[in-house]
Amino acid sequence: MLILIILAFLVIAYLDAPKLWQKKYWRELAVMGIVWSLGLALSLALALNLPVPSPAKLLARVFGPVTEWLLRLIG
Amino acid sequence: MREEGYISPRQAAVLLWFAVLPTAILFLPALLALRAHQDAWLSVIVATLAAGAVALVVYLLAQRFPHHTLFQYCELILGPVTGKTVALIFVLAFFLLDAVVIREFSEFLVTAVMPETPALFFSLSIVAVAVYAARNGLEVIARCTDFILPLMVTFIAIVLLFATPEMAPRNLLPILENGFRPVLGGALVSWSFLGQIFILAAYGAFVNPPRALRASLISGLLGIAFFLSLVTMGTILVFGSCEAARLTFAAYALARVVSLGQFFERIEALFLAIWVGGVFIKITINLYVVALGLATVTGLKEYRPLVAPLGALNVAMATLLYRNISEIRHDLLLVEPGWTLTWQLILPLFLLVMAWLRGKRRTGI
Repeated sequence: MLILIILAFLVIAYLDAPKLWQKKYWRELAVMGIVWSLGLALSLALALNLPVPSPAKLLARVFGPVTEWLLRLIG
Repeated sequence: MREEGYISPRQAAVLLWFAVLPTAILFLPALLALRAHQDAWLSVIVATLAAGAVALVVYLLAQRFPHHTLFQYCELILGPVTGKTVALIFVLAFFLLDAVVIREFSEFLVTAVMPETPALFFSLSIVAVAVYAARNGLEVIARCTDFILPLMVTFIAIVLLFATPEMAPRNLLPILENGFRPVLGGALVSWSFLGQIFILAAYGAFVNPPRALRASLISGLLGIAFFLSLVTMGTILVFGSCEAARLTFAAYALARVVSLGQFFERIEALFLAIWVGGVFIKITINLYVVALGLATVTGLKEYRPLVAPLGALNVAMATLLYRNISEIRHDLLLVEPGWTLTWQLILPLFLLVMAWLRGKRRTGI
């Protein structure tokens, strides 16, 4: 699984990175690199069953009470 | 950052349908039946009126900044630092929305159709296709809808038509049994789907002529309301509100009951094929908007290189977000309304007010 993930991300990098390198689009390369490494890190963490907190939990903590308040307001 | 290429007002409206309908027809009727019982279809109409407020805000902002995307005028209105922060919030919100849609898609296929297949397989394959389409630009996505739209409309019509023998008008009665409050509660749930017409603020800049944006907003919203209330009404008519609330995927169940004679039945496989096409457009347009937004915020010349890594991150995020289908349903009922109301109505409204205040000051000088 880990090898498959790394292979998939190498393919994604191979799609665009060489062309950007040739054209000297450093900014594009940097932003793409950040998103790419975030994706790789998250995928590896999930594959290794590391405890990554879900953003849905964070949203639920903040906006759950908001929705509850709205519900009490109208329904 | 802007991209060359324009779409017609009609295509913008159809894209709007696809940005809302695919997941809405599948998940919404059951949630609505839970909240508003037999008055679920009234909730859709109330929510449409509320979504009209979003449409108005999007239209007024687009009139102020024609040929500018949402992410560009965030910066024009609020200045570089605050503007970029707000634009980044929008990018994150669209990103999360896309991840939720991918998860809903794979979760539906696993739960209802292919329980032995890992969900990751479905999300990977749909995102691979979506990345390919989003890299080709908005014009290509718009032309994809020309192919899928007739299929989807015909199919919804066929399902509703051939399900009529099973329908019982009694199921809709009594109207407004518990007053108007359950209807409003249902409208709040439908809001989190209907508010997604806000996505037009992101690609409305590519509609030519910009003046026609009003027509595409109105026809987009009315089309969504029409199909959504028809499917909701059909579900309630066939199953009754108690049974409909227990079905997780109401439109799919509706396709399953269709049976004409002994030969025209089990058309849910066809439903599946066409629905996957619809969700593909929804995921693609969201992915495109995320890539475009991120490219604008970071000041890039191209959004294309960002699409594939964003797609990969989206698959991982979709896997991370929820543990199972009941968590998605719980979130759609109790979290999403507040969240979507915040970023699809309050935040744009704030932008509009700021534009109005600052714009006035600028002309004063």
